[in-house]
Amino acid sequence: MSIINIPSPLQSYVEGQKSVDIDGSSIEEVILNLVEKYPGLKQQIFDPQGNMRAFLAIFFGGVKINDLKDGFHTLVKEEDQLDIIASMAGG
Amino acid sequence: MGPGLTREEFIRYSRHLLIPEVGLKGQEKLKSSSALIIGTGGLGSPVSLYLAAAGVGRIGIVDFDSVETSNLQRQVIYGSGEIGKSKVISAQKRMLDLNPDIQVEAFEEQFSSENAMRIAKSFDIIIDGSDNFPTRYLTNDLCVLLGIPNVYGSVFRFDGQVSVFYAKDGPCYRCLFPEPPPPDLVPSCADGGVIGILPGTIGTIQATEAIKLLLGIGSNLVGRLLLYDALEMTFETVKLKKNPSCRICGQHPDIHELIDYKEFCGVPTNTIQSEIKNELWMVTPEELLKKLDQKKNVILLDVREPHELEISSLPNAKLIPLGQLAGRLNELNTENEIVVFCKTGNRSKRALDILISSGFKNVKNLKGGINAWAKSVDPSLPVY
Repeated sequence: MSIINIPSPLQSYVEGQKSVDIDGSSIEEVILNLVEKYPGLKQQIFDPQGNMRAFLAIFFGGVKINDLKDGFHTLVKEEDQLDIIASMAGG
Repeated sequence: MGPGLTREEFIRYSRHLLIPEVGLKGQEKLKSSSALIIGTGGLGSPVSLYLAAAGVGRIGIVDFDSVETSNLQRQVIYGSGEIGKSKVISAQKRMLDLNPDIQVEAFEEQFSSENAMRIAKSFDIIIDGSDNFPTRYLTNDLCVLLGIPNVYGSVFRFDGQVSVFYAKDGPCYRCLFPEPPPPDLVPSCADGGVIGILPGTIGTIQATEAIKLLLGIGSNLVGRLLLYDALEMTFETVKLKKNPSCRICGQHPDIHELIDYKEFCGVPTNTIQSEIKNELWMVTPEELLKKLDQKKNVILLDVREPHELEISSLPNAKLIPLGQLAGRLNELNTENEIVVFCKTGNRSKRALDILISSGFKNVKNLKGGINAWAKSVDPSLPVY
């Protein structure tokens, strides 16, 4: 299972947890399994066309997944951590 | 060469003069520097105080709000005696009291595409302490167009983010977040809360980055995003790269001037959201009271978090926090008339979106939330 760190603004959609353990062999699979387990998150993470919303960024090993060679298809293994970061406007 | 220090300034800044990285040249550099602070709220308070104390020669502050009681838990530049008074005028007074040798320019106006260039064009650096997405994208684009650094900070509950977006040397805010969240999808601090000291920490880091950039010393946060979790007391940095397809600093930019940022951030993503803004989907507290008095079969749906019930509640309301609503729709009957409410009406707007998308037809949003109910129907309830 991979560990996904959930940003504060989205924690209410995963029962208030800061991180959740999700199965999957690639980043894409892990994220899809995440929204399947927590359906309230789906609308937050994906737009109606199924694209990831542009106010979120997912980081793996401290690097944004768009900057990884295999992007969303990057393989993950047991206990790898993914960080979802949300834009916040509070000041 | 800087403007030189007065005898009094040698004493005032003696602790800076002792640091080799700053020294006399550095202090003179600060004296001849300028910084513009967007927003004098939670972040702007420490930034304003520390930049003034450090001797940044000319500081601009922009805000159009007045001081409110609920600001004082974190906006430490103000005192209780300033409630109701202009923020920028109050902040200017405090900054000049702290350091009468600097120049503080107060812009008591809403920062917008119309005035941003006029206000910002003569400043060396901008510090973003705003509290809304349109101003954050405006500040970013302005900095890219002016070719100056944007010292970014934002806060929510226990989490803070800091970076320096400087398109000349690295990514900009749009490279990280190309678009804002749909309106009301991410709660604001007014809806979700913020621990009062958090903007103190984040604002102080922003001030540190600003001073370093003005001095040209150290390693700054260009190309890095600092993530602070005050609850777990962790700091983490992630790497940021320029986005080649960024609309303002990418290889083929299509934004060449400031745009309408309210429209950019507020365009409804689907017809349902635009309809929800319509008054037809609203019920005022007075109208709801009438419905309840007439014993109409109305389901009150509270979409706040459970701990908010300790503050205020409506009798017989069913609690389903917004985050759980999509997974608990089976607890509601599509045939019933449902009035959804939260604290101020923002989260309930999202809830309405979910309900309408799922086939609920007879749903309404309590205008102004339970706070409006407390103000106009039941003054025994606290407003928070």
